[in-house]
Amino acid sequence: MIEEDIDAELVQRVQRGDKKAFDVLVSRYQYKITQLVSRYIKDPHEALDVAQESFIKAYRALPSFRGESAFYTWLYRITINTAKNHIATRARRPSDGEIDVEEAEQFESGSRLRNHETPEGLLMTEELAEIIQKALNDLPDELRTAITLREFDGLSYDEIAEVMSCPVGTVRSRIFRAREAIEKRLKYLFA
Amino acid sequence: MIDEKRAENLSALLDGTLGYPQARKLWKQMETDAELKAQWDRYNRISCLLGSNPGVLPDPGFAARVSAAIAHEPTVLAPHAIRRRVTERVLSTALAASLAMVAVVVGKSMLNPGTSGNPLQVAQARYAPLPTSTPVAEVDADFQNYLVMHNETAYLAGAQGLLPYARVVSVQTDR
Repeated sequence: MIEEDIDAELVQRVQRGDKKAFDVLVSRYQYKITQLVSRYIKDPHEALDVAQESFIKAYRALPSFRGESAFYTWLYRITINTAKNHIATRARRPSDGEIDVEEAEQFESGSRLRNHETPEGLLMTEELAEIIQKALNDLPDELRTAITLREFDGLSYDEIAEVMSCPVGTVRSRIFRAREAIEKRLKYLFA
Repeated sequence: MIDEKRAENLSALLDGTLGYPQARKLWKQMETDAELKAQWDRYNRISCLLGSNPGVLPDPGFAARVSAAIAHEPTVLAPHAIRRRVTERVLSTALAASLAMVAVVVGKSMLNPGTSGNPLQVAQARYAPLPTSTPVAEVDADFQNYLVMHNETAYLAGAQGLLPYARVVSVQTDR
């Protein structure tokens, strides 16, 4: 509900002509949108182009957005349609091995659609997985448990507090410290 | 370098556990604070990478490219959408105020049943006899009888009663 309220406020600002508010909406959703697009489109560059196109389409359509649904569901709908249109357009061109739209929709994880088949892609994925696993292993037990329950199992802070028999404030602090520690290990990737 | 408190708030924001005022404040700050926004991006990347299938991550210039593209778009206002939102907010505020008023009045009368809000007195006041503007007692008795009889038989001649129905009833009641 809090997230929806923040979105509604930003949408109103955009509808009043404040383009900066749209930048905030992009910051909020760029990760989710690119992840969503990558379920449909395997090539990372194309996926980013489609994600960008989705945001631009959303901006153009925002004046007619009346808030009947949540902003993010509306944005997801635009993104899925943009990805489908992109695939359909490509399908009309000479075949390059693009997968079927319906297959993409049903493919939950989307891992097959990504660029893992190339040697570079595979190496990057394996290396990255190894680095992340090592960063996780090096964390103190309580930090590793907290971040794992949050990121891998998707538990809420309340649920983690119950599992770990500690206050919610402690969970929040442990997750934060785990992220800080992982960030230090991955710093060179973010540079 | 952002301070630890704000970094921890960002981490909580990523997990959707920050309260509305704090979340709103952070987003407002991120509009102008590049360092804060960069930290937000790093936390998002870590979160994506920790997932079992990280997928494609936006490159650091992604948001800037979208922003540049939007800058070339014409600004189109949506007055209807805004007005509707504002109206909804005003209505919901008015409704909340009305409910609060009802709650105060009801609560007050429940707490102090013997004071100003005595329901019995209100009922008596509502059903007190209205003052009659027509001096019924002063009308001649023979004339009243005539009017009543006329009213009862007027329909035979296809005519309407000469007097209003209420007046006749009033006379009958007095008889």
